[in-house]
Amino acid sequence: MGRPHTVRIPVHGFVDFDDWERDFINHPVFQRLRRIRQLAFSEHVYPGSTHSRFEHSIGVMHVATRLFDAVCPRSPHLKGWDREKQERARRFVRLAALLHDVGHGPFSHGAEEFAPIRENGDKLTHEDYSAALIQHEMQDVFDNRAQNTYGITGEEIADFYLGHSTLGDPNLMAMRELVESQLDADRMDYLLRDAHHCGVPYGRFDLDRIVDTLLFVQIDEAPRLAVTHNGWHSAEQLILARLMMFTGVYFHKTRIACDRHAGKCLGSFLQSQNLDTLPDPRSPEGRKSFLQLDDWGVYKWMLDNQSLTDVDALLFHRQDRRIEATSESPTQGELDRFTGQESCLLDAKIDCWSESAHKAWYKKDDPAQLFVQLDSKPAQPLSEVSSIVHGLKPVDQRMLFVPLNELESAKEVLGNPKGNSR
Amino acid sequence: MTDLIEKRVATLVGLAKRYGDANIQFGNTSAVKLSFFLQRLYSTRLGYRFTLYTYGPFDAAVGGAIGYARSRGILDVRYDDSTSGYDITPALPSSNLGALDPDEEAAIDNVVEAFSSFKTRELELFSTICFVYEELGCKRSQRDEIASRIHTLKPHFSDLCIRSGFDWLSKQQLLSLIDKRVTKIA
Repeated sequence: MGRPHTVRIPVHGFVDFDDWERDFINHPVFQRLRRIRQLAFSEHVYPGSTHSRFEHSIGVMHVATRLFDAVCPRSPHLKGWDREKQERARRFVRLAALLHDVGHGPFSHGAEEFAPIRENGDKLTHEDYSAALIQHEMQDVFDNRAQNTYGITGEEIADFYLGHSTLGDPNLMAMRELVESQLDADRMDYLLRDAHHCGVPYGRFDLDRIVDTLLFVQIDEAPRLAVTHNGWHSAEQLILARLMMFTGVYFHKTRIACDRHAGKCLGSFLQSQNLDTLPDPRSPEGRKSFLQLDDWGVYKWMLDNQSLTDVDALLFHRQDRRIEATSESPTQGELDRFTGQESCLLDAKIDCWSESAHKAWYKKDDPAQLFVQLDSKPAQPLSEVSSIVHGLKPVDQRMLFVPLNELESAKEVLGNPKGNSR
Repeated sequence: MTDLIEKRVATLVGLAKRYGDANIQFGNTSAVKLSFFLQRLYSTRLGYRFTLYTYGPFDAAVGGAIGYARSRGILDVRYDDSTSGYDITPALPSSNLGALDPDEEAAIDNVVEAFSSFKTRELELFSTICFVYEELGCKRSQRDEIASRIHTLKPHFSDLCIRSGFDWLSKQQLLSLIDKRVTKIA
């Protein structure tokens, strides 16, 4: 089947898609992603970072396809795939990559705080939402379509996201690594895209080289993604890009403050809709109601409620200010001092709050899971063969914030106004 | 403890200490699989989101917790060339011990007693059986279906080997722990 359609997006340029993929892109469930920003209120720091999940999702499809096309011919461990099965898997991976974020709520990860609780006490995740929406709300694009020549179903895509044994094909199960792992298409796209839109030079890495050196290796008898010796330094670059994007963008003090205001706004917005949580995607009514929620709807509510403190903070850049912060890898002494300062502010009745880097969602990273295939040895973790990666410490910074109108009082209490000057 | 990461770390320290006391190497795979057992069999609330990969149930957040503990000087993590695996040990003799409640400490004792004698390959199999068992609604009668699904996804485990693993878990009353947890949720 040809690829008669093309869209041009930042970072990757022209991205092709066919008639059937266009139907997914044009579906209201996917179009909604135009109205969800990738980085919520990061524009308070980087004014260019107003890009959407729509653009990112197309980028992830493009990267996943490049990874798939690169990895298949050089991975003898992917046994049992004939040409037809491989072509089916290619289409499957493209769709899974394209649709992986349809379950995001307003302000992206900010909405997960309000996800309903499962029976076992855990919160639903955006992956659960994506799976439910694809299975139940996009069914019309899977069923009875002449273009669906391989009989791909929404249930299969959901199983792929949620890692269910019903997926059946071990090679397809291995392909989950292309969409959710330390070397996945999602991460590769968002680092490059976020860096591009923020205008920062440090989120970049050599994607071409990684694609050129990517393969599956056998570790403990299971296929795992790795780069060859020639991709070693590009993988290091990826790790450094991740670290720098974390400290410079995702855990930036202003973004953290805005995220908190956005969370409070979202909570108030949901209350105004008589909702305690996001609608539950396990019911048809819940899914329909969820699909009505996007950034635009919350913005409209914010414009109607400008007198609220958190709305005012976001509309007029009057967010809480950081008064103190530890170093990125604090000593116990620093942490004790930090806790003491927080107590001082609380004792002085200043409405302070703190945030820790290790709580942030992007901190699921585990460089120990990124492998390098050396010429004559079994694949090894990058953190062991690279002295650069080996020497990195996870960021564990703590930051202390106060409302803007209490900043001066807080400085007086602490007698050390260094925190906000960075 | 209110902070989930602290609880995850305290649990990892508890596991590493017990493995160390028994002179058994505690690596990344053991950490992931034992955290899985603690959450799914012993109902310890660690908040991980395990999904199935070709190498069994996995959540990268376990690695994140290990990295955090290492950066805080709570765990030592050393790569062992001879085994091509990590050796995770408590950095301080008593670091964070006592931070878990007695039920959680007991769960760690139980999971170590049940699984510490097994190699990572066996832990991978047992955890996958438990994962699929729960996925299929906790029915012992599904043994054939469980074996078939796992063999399809992991052909390196023979049908016989999977069935033996299932029978062992059943005989040790470990599948009953999943039944109990799932029933309680329902």
